[in-house]
Amino acid sequence: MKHTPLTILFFLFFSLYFGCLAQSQDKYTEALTIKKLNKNKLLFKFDFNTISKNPNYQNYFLFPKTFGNLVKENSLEYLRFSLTQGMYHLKYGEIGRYSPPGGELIATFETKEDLESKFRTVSRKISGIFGTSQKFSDLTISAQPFYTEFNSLESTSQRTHYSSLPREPVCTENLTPWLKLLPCRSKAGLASLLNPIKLYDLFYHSMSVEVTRSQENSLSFHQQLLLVVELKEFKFSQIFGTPLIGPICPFSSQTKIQIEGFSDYSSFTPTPEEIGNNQVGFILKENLNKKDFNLHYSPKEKTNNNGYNHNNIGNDNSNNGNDNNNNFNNNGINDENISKNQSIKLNRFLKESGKIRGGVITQITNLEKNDLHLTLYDSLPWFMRVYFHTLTIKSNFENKEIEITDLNLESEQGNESNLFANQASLLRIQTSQDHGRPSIFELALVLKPGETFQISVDYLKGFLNFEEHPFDGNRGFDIAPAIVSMHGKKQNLKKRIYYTDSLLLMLPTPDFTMPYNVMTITTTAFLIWYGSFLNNLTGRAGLKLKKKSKAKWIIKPDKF
Amino acid sequence: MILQLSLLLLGILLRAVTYHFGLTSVYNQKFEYVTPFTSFDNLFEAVHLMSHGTSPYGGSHFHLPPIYLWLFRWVDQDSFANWGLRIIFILIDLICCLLLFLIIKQTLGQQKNKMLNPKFERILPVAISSIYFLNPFTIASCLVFCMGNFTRLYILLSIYLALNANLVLSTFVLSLAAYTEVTPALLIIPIILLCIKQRSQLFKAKINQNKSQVKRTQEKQKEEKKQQKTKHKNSNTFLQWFLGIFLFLFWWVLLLVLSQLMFNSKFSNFKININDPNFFQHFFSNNQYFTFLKHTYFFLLNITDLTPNIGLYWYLLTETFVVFRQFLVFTLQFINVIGLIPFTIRFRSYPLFLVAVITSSITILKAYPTLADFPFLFCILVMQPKLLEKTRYRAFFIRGFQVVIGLLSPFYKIWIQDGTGNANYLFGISLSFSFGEILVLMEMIRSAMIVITNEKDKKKEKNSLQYYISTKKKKSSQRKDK
Repeated sequence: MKHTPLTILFFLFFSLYFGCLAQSQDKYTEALTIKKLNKNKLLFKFDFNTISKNPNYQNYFLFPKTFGNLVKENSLEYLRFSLTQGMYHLKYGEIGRYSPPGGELIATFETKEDLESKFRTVSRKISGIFGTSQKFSDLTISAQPFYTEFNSLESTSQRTHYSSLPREPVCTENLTPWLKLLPCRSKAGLASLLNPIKLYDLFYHSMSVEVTRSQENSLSFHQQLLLVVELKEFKFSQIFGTPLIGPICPFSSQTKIQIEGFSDYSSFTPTPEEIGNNQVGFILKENLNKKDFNLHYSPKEKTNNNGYNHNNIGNDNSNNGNDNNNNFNNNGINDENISKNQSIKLNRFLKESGKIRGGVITQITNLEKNDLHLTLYDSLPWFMRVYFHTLTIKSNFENKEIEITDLNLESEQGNESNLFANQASLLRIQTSQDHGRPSIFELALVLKPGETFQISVDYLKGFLNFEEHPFDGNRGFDIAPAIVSMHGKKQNLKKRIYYTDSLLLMLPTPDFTMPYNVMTITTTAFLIWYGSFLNNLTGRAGLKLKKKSKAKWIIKPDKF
Repeated sequence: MILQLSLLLLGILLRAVTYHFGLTSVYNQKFEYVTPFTSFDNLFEAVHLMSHGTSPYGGSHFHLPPIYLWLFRWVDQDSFANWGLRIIFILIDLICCLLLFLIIKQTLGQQKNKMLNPKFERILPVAISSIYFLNPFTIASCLVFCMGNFTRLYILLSIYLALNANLVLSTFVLSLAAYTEVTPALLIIPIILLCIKQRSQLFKAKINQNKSQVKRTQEKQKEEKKQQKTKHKNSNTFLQWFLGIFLFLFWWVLLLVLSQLMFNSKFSNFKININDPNFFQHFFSNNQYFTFLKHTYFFLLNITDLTPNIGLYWYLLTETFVVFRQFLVFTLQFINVIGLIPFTIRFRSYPLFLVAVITSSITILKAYPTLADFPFLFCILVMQPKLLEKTRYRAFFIRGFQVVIGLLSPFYKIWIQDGTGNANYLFGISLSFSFGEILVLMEMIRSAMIVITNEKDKKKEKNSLQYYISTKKKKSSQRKDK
């Protein structure tokens, strides 16, 4: 077929047309939320949202192509990946969805089949994109939570695979590809504030990517960066190193800075305005480039200037573990470690004597004024060999032990009214395999107001080969936190997800320095066993003790 | 008789008292008595998992074959305080003790050349069996409900039955031992040898009885009888070999199939419904044939659990590179089996000693040994007391074992509990313990060799003297003829 000028024109026209169509259908918004938290903490939440309606997976405008392909090839419905440094405690206040320390990957697929292999390919691609370690696909840490719902999609229970790497380090190498996914990179808009050198000095830092394919055939791509700072007053140039220098990202349909939870808006310079929906903040316009936007906050009543607190990442964890152990019998509500609107309080710690046996204890307190319906997902690696018969739940009401009813609901799914019929019910047990899958248990709990449940389970530690230990073997192993998800009966309680503390488990270590000595000495013992054994059988040991026989000349030397 | 009964009562009393004062919880933390294979906690965990509809072998706690699950399906969390269970384990020890007594008495009766002092001989069976019954290691293993006690019982019972020339039952009991722990399967050849020897001895005894009753005058008749006897014997031994091995395998396979049937029909209920028309379909359609073998036999042979014990393997496999692991495990297990062939050939006419040697080599080279195996090993080796006279370095061994066993527990504690020492302490002491056991076994083999060579030389000397005399006579007669 000859390409006539007419056909060429025709193609040009259509490609332009579809290009425009794609352009018009991708919507991109930027938002920064500044929120005051408890204990002198400030939250900076960056949200970058791209929504693509009716994607054809061929022309990409604002939606990142890598993720479009990933969704299409692996028939993904939902994907969430996060990299976090530091641990966020609920006592600072509720900030919506947050992430546990290290890396976390959640993927929901269209079908149940081949979940593990699909998850493996997805995790490899993700670690390729963000330059993280490939251990997400490791079966020893990844599993399927059946009753925890990570997204608003329906009946995702058996199609979701979850994997958490509490020890994944986070650094600028991971941030750079994350920023590159933004339409304006870090050149313009709110993302220009994100200076890697400053970011990793903060108290808590969590970046995440969330892809959702909704049923109306629209793809949403949500990039979120959570920063928690311990400051009493702040200035953009102080925290991020630079003020916000324009221009703002031209692709962004809305760029706003929102301010929440402050009592005095007058101590901000410039003073925030009403931006609709009862929100206070700024809507940034394109004419920003004339003057730098350097938001400054200094409260009028100054106590003492804490200033910028370096090196306090993780300092808070050590305090927390200790002071929470003893307040099981106290009424949790009067605790000073609780924020105003907190609905749940979580603690988790290890009880150990010696290095072989121990137990994991998880405490959940209801701080709401009505009953809470919760599911707990706890996954422990294989080298914590869980004794499921020691699984007990204790309530602080009358200090009694609660009977756990066993529901084998794996066959009948989605009957949520059944789940919370009893005060505590065991939904699922998955036993571990050596060097393989982790052991998992899922519980459904109903907590009365002010009630604390103490869930404890014992384990026996497995011993590892010296090559299986990490390079700093005496540091211990990080154990991923348990996930508590709230199942709201009423509409106002959204399905929310909380993480407990992650744990550090010490395993008995062999001597890493001298494997050859052990090998040679032990095999020598074996050798002596075989050697002297054969020697005894073939040699004539008895003859030495015996007197000389008279007829020795007739006997042939050895007839044995 | 009074002495024996009082000793038995003392043993039972000791166990009852230690149970009563709750020493179980103390000993249940000790690595010398509780291994991944023998732990009772793990059995209970398996029963618990089964009641929740999960595979009892999940979580790599439980490693015994399914029949034990069925036997102990009634245990619960408070089972350590259950007197029924306690009585079962006391009975196991008691039967072991009685069997040892009977075995030693019988073997002493059969030995022709009595080198021992008759007084010593009279007291020996009681002494050895009470050493087994009253020593702290056996009592401790009884306290923690050590599952290894079953294997010990089976082995002793099968030796006793073989001594009474009961081939069918002894192979059955041995197959139970092999079903539990695989490695006792190596005992099948000595057990059959023992059976054949005992049977022929019984046969001889009968003939001797007949002889005394009826006097035979004609020599021809005698010769004919002899020929018949040898013929009969040859065909009989072959039959016995065939029957023994066939029966052993038959029992073993039967037990495996039985447990597979039990295991397949849902974990929660152990009923085998043969009336079910789809029974065989269910059995064969399930792709998971004998999945429990992976968690039981493969676990034992591959030594997957590296929890410290008093054996040789755990630290070796902890410190070897993962690449060489399979090779090393295969080689060591292979040589353990192959190494027994020269033994069997050399000691084929001394089957009881062969049984003792193979049993002790199995016990020493176990993947998950407990300290309760140590008195068992001693008693098994002492079954032929005349070998004891020839062993060297007895004082050295006694002192050495005292020191080593005394140090096992502290060295474990400083590594695991206190964290003040490292793994090399425990490795060194467990290595020297196993090494000491090996040396003892070697001494026993050496003394057995001395005894055997002495016996053989005596025979040969006799024969050669006769030959010498007869040739001289012939020569002299020839000279006379000339």
